[in-house]
Amino acid sequence: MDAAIVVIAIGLAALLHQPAADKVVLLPGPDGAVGRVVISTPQGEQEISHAYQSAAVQQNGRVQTGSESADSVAARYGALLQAQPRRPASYLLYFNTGSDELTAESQTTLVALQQDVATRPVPEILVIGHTDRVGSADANEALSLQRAQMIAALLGQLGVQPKSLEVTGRGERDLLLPTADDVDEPRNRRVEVSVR
Amino acid sequence: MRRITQGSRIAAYLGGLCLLLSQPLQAETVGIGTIKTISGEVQVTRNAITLTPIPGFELQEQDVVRTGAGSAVGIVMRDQTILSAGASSVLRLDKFSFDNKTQTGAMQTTLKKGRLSAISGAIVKHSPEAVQFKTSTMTLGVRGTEFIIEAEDRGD
Repeated sequence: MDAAIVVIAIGLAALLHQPAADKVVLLPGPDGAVGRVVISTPQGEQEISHAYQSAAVQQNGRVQTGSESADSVAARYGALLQAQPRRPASYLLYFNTGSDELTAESQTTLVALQQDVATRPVPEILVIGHTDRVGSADANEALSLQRAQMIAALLGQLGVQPKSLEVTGRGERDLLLPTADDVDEPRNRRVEVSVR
Repeated sequence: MRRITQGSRIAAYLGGLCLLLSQPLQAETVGIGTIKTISGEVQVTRNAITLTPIPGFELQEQDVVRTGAGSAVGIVMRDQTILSAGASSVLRLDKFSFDNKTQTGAMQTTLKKGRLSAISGAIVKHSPEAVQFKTSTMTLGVRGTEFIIEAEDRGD
């Protein structure tokens, strides 16, 4: 056999035996939005910020960026992505003004929520009460918890049976529509049911 | 905060047994995340005890999740971070804390080998600097995103 071919074959074998580098691939979200990942090693730092951009740690510890595609990701990581649990979903419920009755629209939302819980493997529910900024922050925290507890009780009455259910009140911390203090904003007075 | 747990008795029993063996009896411990999907062989090592989880299994800090050949596992953390590990993978949940009310917390996860996919959750949204994903050669800082990590087996 030609000596050159043997050398090439040995070289190829050595390449194949080289351990694969640790690697990261950035994916777009369902809405196409792409975040950023910063990869640090003792030899430096690299940021990736485009869909399907990748970064791999080289033998010398430096980080080399590259690119994948939707197809190459599906081919190599299809089974991995298939194993991802369904994304958590959030349902917003509103009460008719001055009453503990849900709005008509929220009644519809409630049906969708029930269907979601019924079809999700080992569903877990977090009920989060929110208020607007009328009143003190402390009072709003208590009020938001009360509203959340009311919805939790309602879910129980409806026979919604998650694996676990937690209730919390975020008061005016997490406004849907940011406002100045003491602004009456009905859209902020809501109970969010997060299903995961 | 109130918590009602139903069903999933086996997972609760296994978890409870471990707690009994490892530390004084505690009031209800809330898991840091839940295994939602399992295909093939998946094991969790906790305090040197190997457990075989079923969907609904609640994970604790420092748990090591292992998958067999052709196997995979899907996890949702309490802050809604979604994780999946592919075949022949070893994932350690080094640190996790999360407060539902303030949405603050911290998370560190190490992929010792194999493949991991992640969709970041509430902690990344509110305090991205508190979240780290690691392999033996790199550390990732995350700013609101989805990604895959692949780590070479360098021995446990």
